[in-house]
Amino acid sequence: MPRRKKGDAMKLVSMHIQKQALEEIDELVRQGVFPSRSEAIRYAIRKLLAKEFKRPISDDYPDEIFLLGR
Amino acid sequence: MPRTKAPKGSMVIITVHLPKEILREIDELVSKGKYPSRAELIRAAVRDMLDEVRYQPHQQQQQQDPPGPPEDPPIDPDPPLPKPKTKTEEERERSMRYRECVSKLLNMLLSNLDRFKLNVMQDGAYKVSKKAIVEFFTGDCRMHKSVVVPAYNALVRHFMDAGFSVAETPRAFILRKEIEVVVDA
Repeated sequence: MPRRKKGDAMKLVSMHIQKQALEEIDELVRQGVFPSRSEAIRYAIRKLLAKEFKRPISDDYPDEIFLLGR
Repeated sequence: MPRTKAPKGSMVIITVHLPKEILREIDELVSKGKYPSRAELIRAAVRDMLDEVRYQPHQQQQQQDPPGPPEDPPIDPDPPLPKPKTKTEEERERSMRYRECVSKLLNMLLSNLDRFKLNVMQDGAYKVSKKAIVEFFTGDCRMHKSVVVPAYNALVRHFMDAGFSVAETPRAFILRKEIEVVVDA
């Protein structure tokens, strides 16, 4: 059975982004709209993918929204 | 020779962890030619999101303000910058905003319970959709959806304290008012 490392599910991506866009993301984080820059960027990507693949965003990531301790 | 067309200093490098599944879909769109590269897709996503966020407060403002005569232009076009808040102040403010939202939603639900009746013929059972809760927090309160899970827990706790039994379905919470049955000896 192949070994599965802990970080297998995530990949690190580096890229250039406009400084102004990053400042606006930081402002959203300061306002509490997103918990971190990374979460804001991931949310933006998910939204775009949901739009491109024509599916509702909430159905893509139900666990993130609808998780509750039982 | 610069590697990008943008003027020097206007771009910064960011590094973000992305789930493999998301990356696979990004690559699919890039290979279909919808976006020239992964980076371009991510930049477009960020642009779209920021446009949406910029647009929302303006839209909400328009909905709140009744149409009237145009106002005179402000005398001072550059208002003084607000004093920067410390990290502790920001955290306290965020936490207070979250608690206010939970309390506001709870009061709203309790005072309008009849609107959430599970069955019009049945008293004491109510259904509150999770979508409505998510929309309240991410829309009315402008908070990130990550607060929704703790908010669910807080609401469930409050409802249980108020004498309800709470059940959960994938899309809603079912509240039942527990009725005390007194049996005469």
